[in-house]
Amino acid sequence: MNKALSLISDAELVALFQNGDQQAFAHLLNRHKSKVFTSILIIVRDRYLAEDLFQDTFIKAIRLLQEGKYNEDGKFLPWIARVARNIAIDHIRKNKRQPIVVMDSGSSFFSSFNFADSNAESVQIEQDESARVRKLIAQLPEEQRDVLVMRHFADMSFKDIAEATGVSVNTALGRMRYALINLKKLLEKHKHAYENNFYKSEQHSSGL
Amino acid sequence: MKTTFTNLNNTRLAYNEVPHKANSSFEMNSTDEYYLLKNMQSKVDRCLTQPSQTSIDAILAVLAKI
Repeated sequence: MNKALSLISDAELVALFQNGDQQAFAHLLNRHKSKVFTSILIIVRDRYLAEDLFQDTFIKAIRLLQEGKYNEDGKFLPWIARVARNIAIDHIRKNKRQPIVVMDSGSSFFSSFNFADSNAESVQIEQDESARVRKLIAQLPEEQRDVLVMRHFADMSFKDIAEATGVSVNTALGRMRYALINLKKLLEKHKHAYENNFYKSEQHSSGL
Repeated sequence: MKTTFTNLNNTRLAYNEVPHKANSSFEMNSTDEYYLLKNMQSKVDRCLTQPSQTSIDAILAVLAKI
């Protein structure tokens, strides 16, 4: 990959691509693939499906850029993150696979949580904090999850998030606050559940 | 749990959305919450994962055809 491309802005890469430089788009892909993929994965909660929708997202971006349907100079990541979100949400709606978690109160939220898969693969996943955090973000109430994804994975300001979601900046900030606090509670609860399950397994395996 | 002005300011501070001058005059009476937010922020930032090389190759293949 052209080393100089790593030094130039998203807006310049978009312009280069629209002028026929394919490497410029390849660099945009490389620069933003993790954030876009993670945001899709959090919405659909299925890695294989997320891979398909990730491809759809960037292929659609290629088409939209070629057709000149991109007018967000300098804000490529928020734009493609929005394309990704729309593709993921459309897929869920079409397939009626909407994630079940839409809750307001903490109690019902936590009581629906299903821990303690016992197969070896899931134990391995549980040990991976990064995967655990993604899984728990996906469990947040939708409006909190959306603000978190927009701020962390689409690099949007709270002002932009407020405009995109039709709420005040203070509401967007409040949702982010609840998202992080709820995530902390979920991590603690999850850790408890994992440890209880682990020690139970240990007792079983040792014949106690 | 009601979100107060202080709570929102903690969130603003955690996301560097408060100008430095405002920070210095801001009495953080919920310091613990500020650090909780910062801690969770870093966990979220570290939870990124990569798509497979197969997906990247599929997109590059489309790019090569144009």
